[in-house]
Amino acid sequence: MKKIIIGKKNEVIKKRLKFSIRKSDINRTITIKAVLWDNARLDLEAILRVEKGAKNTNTYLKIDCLLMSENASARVIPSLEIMEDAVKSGHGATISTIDKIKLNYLQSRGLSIPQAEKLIVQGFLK
Amino acid sequence: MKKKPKFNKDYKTKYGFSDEVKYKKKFPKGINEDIVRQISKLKDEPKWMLEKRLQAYEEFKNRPTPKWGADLEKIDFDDIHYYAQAGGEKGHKWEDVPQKIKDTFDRLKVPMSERKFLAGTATQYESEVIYSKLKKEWQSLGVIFEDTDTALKKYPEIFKKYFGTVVPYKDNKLAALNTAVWSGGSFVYVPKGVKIDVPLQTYFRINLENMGQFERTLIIAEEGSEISYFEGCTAPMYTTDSLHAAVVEIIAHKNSKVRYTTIQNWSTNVYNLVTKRAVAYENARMEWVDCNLGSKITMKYPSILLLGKGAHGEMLSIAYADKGQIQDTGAKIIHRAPDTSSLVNSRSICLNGGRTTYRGLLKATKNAKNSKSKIICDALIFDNKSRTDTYPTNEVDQKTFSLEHEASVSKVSQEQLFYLMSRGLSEEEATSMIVSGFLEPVAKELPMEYSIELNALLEMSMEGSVG
Repeated sequence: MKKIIIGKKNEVIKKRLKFSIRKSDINRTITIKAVLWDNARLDLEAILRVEKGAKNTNTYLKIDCLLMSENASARVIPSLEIMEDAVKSGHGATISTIDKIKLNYLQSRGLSIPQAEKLIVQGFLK
Repeated sequence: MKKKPKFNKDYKTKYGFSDEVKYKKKFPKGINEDIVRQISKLKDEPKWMLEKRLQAYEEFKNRPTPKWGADLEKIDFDDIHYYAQAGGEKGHKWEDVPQKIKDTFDRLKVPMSERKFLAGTATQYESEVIYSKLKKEWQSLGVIFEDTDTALKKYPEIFKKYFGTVVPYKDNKLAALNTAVWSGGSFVYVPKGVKIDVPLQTYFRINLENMGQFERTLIIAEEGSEISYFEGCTAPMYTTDSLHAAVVEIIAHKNSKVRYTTIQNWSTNVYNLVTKRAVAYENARMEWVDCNLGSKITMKYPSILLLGKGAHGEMLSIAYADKGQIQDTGAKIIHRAPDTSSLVNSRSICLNGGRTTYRGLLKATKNAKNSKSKIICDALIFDNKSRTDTYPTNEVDQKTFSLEHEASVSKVSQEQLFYLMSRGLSEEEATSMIVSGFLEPVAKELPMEYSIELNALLEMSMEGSVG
């Protein structure tokens, strides 16, 4: 399962997502990718909940945010609530910006900064 | 049948006893303005302190009990003794400590100052520090290690300059309560450039039923200094609840290094609601090492404010929740300067219906250019009566900030057990080994003696129970 969030200009994106795992034997990775430009602000709360009785599940919640401008900001709360023992569950979150080295490399191959940025963002969302 | 580890199996005989001590002063249960005034009067405090206490008491009265996290509604603030002092004066000689209390600490095997590896020790019994000693070599370098009450009298200037600056009384209800009725705790001052390479230690003990312990610790590390501070706590087992609400404030100046280690092993009738916070200036390094094994409900989120360029904050923690216990712990780190870095490594174990929660905050303001943070919180869950939650808030307002957060929840799997058992280990040994391995990244940061103790607590008592 994959979700993409893109924020531009003065957008304020508020989201509360809840993923409940009720059945046994489920293997699921939930990926949320966010790219924030300009003055965009992301306020995201994502809960992954493994309910009682959902045995032998393997779940992972992943949230990656890319801040594209000085004024972009993100508040991310990836929560886990685990009521069952026979599970493997996890979450990961990253908030970062474009790696300068990657940008320089693409520039050295003749791409302009906007072109290079676009390419890197595309790669990030893939 | 699944084997589970068991900490504290012999808590009752080892730590959970109470002793009959004659009390020199014991205030009646409950809190009111008069009690606050009496405490202040008893300690012969300057006027500003009394005023601060009264302000804080007002704040405490007007603030509602926090509704989030563990259920604190059951605490009856009127059913607690806010001050008690056992007989005898505070001494710098162990011989001066009353025999009864000495026996208690002997039974607890609390390391005495005679232990060579410590730079200084202090012990607090109920509300008062009964013994404190600092080695001569450190005294001559200008290091101060006193109980907080004495420090207020002896070093009023340093005290007034820093008291309440890191944790103001308006911070939360329990910080307000602590400021109103605080008693005891440690005051540590390390002058510029002094590096204390062996730890200082304080041991806290609650003995009375329905006792409230409100110690206040203040640590100031001047430029370029180094200090490691260690605290341990235990209490007898009662059927009614006791309250421990401490405040710890740490100021780490430029280039200093401070490490604060806690092994919290209260009995399971103690509410442990502690506010701990540190500020770190330029290139300072602040580390919390926090082990929560005991208590009924613990709510504790040690915080670090990174205020100077290049400051580093670290938080390593272990939480263990058995039947009836709630360990609601976490870390709060706020980046407010460029080139700062932080690391959070939290490990929790829950079993037999225990509940562990990681509740954290990582905040990077606009000023935190080129800074980095890594947060790891892992949990081990043993049965489906238990519950483990993770609520990390990550807030970034700075583009060049890099944040990584990772959490995992797992159980001791059959494959792991089977593998180890096929190598000739019994099921107990195998489980114990897996748990030790799980805790290792934090356990290895403990001083040798305590690391051994923790391992001993673990391996001794694997108990067979239906999983």
